[in-house]
Amino acid sequence: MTAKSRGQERQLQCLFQIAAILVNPEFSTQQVFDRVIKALPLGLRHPEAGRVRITLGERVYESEGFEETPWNLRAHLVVHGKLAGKLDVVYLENRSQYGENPFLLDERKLVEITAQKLGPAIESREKEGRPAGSPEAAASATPSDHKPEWRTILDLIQETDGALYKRLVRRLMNHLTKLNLPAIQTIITRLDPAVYAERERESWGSNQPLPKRDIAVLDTAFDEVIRVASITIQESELARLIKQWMKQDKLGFFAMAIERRDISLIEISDIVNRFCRDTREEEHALSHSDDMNVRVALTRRFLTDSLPFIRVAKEYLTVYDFGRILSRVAGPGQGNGRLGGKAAGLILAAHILGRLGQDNPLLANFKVPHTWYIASDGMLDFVHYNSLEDLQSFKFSSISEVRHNYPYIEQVFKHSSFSLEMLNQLKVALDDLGEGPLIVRSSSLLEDSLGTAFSGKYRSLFLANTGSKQERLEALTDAVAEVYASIFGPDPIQYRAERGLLDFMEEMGVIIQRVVGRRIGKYFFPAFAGVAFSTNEFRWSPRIKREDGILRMVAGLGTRAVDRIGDDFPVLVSPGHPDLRVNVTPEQVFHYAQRYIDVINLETGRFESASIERIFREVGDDFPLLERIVSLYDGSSLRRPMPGLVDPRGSDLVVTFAGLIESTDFVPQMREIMRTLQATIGMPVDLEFAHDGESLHLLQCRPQSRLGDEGPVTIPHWIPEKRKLFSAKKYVTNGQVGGVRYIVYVDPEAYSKLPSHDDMVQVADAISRLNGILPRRSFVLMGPGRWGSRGDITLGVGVTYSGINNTQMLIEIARRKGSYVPDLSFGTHFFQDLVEAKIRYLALFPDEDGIIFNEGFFREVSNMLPVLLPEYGHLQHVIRVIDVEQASGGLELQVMMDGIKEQALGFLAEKSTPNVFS
Amino acid sequence: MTTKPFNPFEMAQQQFDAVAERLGLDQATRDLLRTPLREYHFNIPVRMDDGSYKVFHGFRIQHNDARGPCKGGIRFHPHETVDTVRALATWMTWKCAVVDIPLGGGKGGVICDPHNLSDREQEGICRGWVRQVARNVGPTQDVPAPDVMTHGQHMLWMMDELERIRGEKLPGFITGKPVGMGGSLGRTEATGHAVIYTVREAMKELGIDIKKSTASIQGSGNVAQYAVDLFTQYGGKVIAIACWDNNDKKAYTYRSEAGIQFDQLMAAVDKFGTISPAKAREYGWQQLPGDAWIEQEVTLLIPAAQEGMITGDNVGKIKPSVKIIAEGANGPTTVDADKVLFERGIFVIPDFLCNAGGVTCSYFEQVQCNMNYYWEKEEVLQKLDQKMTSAFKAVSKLHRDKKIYMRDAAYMIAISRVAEACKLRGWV
Repeated sequence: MTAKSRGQERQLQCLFQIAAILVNPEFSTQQVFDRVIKALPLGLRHPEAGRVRITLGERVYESEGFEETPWNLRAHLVVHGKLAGKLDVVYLENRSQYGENPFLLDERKLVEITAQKLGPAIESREKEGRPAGSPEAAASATPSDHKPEWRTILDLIQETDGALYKRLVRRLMNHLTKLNLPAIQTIITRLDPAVYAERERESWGSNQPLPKRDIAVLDTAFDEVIRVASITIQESELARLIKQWMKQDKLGFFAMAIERRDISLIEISDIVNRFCRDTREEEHALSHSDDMNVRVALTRRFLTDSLPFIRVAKEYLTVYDFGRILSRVAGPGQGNGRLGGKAAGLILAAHILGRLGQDNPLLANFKVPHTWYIASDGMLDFVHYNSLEDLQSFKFSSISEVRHNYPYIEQVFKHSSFSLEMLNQLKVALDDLGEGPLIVRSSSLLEDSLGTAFSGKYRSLFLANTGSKQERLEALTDAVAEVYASIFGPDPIQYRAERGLLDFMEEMGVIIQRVVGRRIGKYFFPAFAGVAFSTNEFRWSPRIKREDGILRMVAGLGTRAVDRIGDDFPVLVSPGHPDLRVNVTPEQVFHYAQRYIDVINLETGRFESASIERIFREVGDDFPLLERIVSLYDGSSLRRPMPGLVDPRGSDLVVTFAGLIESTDFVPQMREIMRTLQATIGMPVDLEFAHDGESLHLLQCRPQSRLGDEGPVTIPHWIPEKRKLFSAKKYVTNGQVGGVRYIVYVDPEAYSKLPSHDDMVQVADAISRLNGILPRRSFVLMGPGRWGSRGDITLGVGVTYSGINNTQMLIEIARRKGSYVPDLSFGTHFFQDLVEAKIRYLALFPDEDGIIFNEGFFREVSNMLPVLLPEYGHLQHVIRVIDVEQASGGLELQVMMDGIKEQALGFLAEKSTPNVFS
Repeated sequence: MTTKPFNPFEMAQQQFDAVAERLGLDQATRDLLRTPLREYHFNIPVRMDDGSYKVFHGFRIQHNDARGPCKGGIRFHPHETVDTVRALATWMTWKCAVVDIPLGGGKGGVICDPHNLSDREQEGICRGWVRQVARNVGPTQDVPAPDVMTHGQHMLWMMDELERIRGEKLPGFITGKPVGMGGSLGRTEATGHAVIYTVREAMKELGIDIKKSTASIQGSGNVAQYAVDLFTQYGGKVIAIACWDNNDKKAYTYRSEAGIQFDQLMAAVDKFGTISPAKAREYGWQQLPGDAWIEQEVTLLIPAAQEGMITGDNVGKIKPSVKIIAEGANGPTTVDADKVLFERGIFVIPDFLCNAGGVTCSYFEQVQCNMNYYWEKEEVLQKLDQKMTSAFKAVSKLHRDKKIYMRDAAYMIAISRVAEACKLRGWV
């Protein structure tokens, strides 16, 4: 807020106060003077140094400590047309910087107006012959002879601030229009400039400028509005309205200030803070339009330019919310950085849920961890401070160069220092966050662009946050520097290059959050944590709907749910059907259970992945929500433990979340949160959450990255027979796979005839190699029986996850021959890997009725294997690598799957052109 | 390439025909035993979670109950075919007969995919299944057990439903229940120990001193572990054990000239049967390729992992020192390898006799339930020993007396016992 606007505000307040004193018939002349003497200094720039004296004839009224000084203002009192006295205002000291007259023009005006008003007030009291303001004077006063308060205020304003006067009358007119009283409608219509303009438009035609209207006409119109208002609206109501509008109007400066593009962090924080301090949240200090304007300006300034985001944010984020957020923002004071995508997502989600949670108990019961934000230009500050500017062009280096140099850059960053300004702010943040583990997360500007989820590309680092204050600060700055450095990491740079985002001036905001969890023994971890997607892109049962969403949960820190780590398995829950599990038999549940848990070891200060069995044994019953998280496995069945009787040291505990799913409203709660956020934000969301045993915490919210078009796919009926390669009628999920250039086909018959186990192992090795060579997601794998078979590889190619992770689709061919009944991966060991990797899966039963299987195509077209992998050339009768484009004269493979009708078709199609705008 | 789809029931019938020919069974007996005695096909309407109804198709095949109530699992499988169930029911008849337990053969199932069904809906299927066959199953008629995609919980729902219908407690109706809810102790050890009971008897007959014998075992799961347990208790030495390494995704054979001890093995192996290479080093076990187990200079080979592990290709690697192969796994020997074993005169304890410890223990579970008195583990294992020993003796006697290959002898014993029961009852 500028000094000037503050002066105006003070002056207006003072004037209203004086007006109220003058019109109060209960005050005698003396009482009027006493009160004016007290009120007038409040309108000065330095109220504490200002003193007032009123001289009326012989009588002198003055404020305590009044002295004559060189710095004075004088105005004359005129009563009954004659000079009757004077009004003196002095400053006891000159606070002006340059020694000139300390009184501003505004202050002069204030004093003059006060003197002018005092005259009539004295007159009216003397006319009644009650100069001393006796009680009977008040009693005999009639309504006709005092001007109502609102009128006095309006008159005052008209004299002091013509523009404000016009704005107020216009609002009064709008208010009258809204009242819609038939009696006044005609007057309003006549006066309404909109109606007038319309009429003029009609007579003048729409293509030429309207004539200017006589300003006197408008003035008359204003008088008429005031007259109508005085008839139709009660005095007290009018006074209230005018005061409210004035207050709102006086805050208009606030909106204007905030809208400035170059406004610095310090300045904007100051303005917002002052606003929040001076007004109350429930009083609607700003008019609706100003309020919206300010919200939009603040959102744009701190969160994002994205219009869809702003559209939602302005409904849910108030100025006061920003006030609270800004009290926890660190950054260069003169800078104008933002908080970045992750911060924006979390702030918006938390406020949407906070608001809607007032009426919906399912949304109410969650918290957001205590969080600080570092504005995105903190990174620029860091770069300048350490003279690292030359790094900005680094992103245009070749990716191998990036990969090669990144570890070096990371170390350079970690050995650089922060400016004193930033260090001081981080100290404050650290004091405010207190002791206990922290997580430092990236929150870059690109992370907020819709549909580009930089999931896991930038760093998130855990800090134990133990030791002396200095040690904690050092650990924090070190972590922030490392997060900054991750902007130059090969993964994000490659990702940006692939999506044409390299030219974007990426900046990195940082979130410093308290880790949700509890200290148990020497460890710190939440009871459980995980991620939630509001749209489920991989459904293990046709009964599970896309819009049901999906939860991936682990005991302990959520890192294991966010990333896919080795052979460990989170629990997957479909909130629409929590009872439909990925694993069915107790053996499967046990086999595909979480085996490691991520914790922070407070003794070593490190993040650790520990055997979950060991942690259960070590912490025993202290494990939060243990009986909700685990089931007991006795070798053949799973049981939910009796609360209080769980023996983590004596039983086989398996993380199933059975208790949480069946006996709490956690799943409905998550479902409601996901549904609400998706509906409000207007796109699928990806959340991170953690539960410390007492409360659910929301850690992150961002747009869900999409697999592509995964809706129900209608299989076209016009595909010529010769282009059809295969069809399926069982276990089909919804989905579509396109742009497949290569098919890696393992011939079921040739595979089953391989002479030795070693040959089969070699097939698996060759597939793994192909998985590394062929462009990611450009190929599908087709082969007999159980892919990824664990033991008997005669039943299927014994690849591991890393040997197939780049395929777009895995197709298992079940031929009914030989001496075993084919048993597909569907629902068994391998399935969860596919779910995790979002690899589409299809089972083919070529020997069943009505099924298309164009074996000729797979067997006869030319095989690229000997070219790609000459060392596996001897397997070319088993593995056939088909270049679809070459084999079909420019076509590609598409697979369409309609899970509702349980039909799928793989066929050769014209190449789909990638849409550059998508 | 249109080959006739594989039909497991046809295969079971061919197997029976061959043995029936050798036994010279009359036509009526052949007709009776070639196909199941009774088949129940029925619909199971289930109220789904969303309030709609869905009808599932269920079966129970009772192949033969001349020797006692039918015994056999219930499978939940989306690709279930009635011929698979018929074949499996037939094999159950022979398996119960070869170990001479007073039970017949049955099998059942429901065409469904539990991945698409909530627990409540699965419970609906279980109870619906029982309601449809309540008159035809029970402790004295037909005793189901868990099988593909069914487990203890399903068995308890089914038991409860039958008890409600009949108005009495009938824990002996179904096996595979958790201990404490009618399950039997000793189930963990049963199969592995039973393998060694047959080995012990075989060695006695072949004049091999078990204390001087050595073994190489493929597999490190439950069966293998308890085979090591009992074999070492008897004084034998396990030289090698092959395991699937779940981390490296490949198999290894661990070899120790000093012998692998049971407690060492249990300390080294995780819940999934992977032997920790670090522990193995600590014990001084040598790590060899996965298929090295078969070429060890030992007296005894126990394939206890998966089907089809001894093939025409690797059977030649078996050392002349090997006198006995005990088939702990189902179908570990391919047909061509089997011929070689027969020619080389290696004593094979066929799978459906050798690994019948499991079904025998189920029988004990049923017996204990029927009398509502539960034995200690030692008693279970002791009775198991008696059963296995006499079953083995009967088969090996036939083998010796008639010079019949052990596998054929086992089938002949089994089928003849069933045929005889039918005759004695005056059925044919």
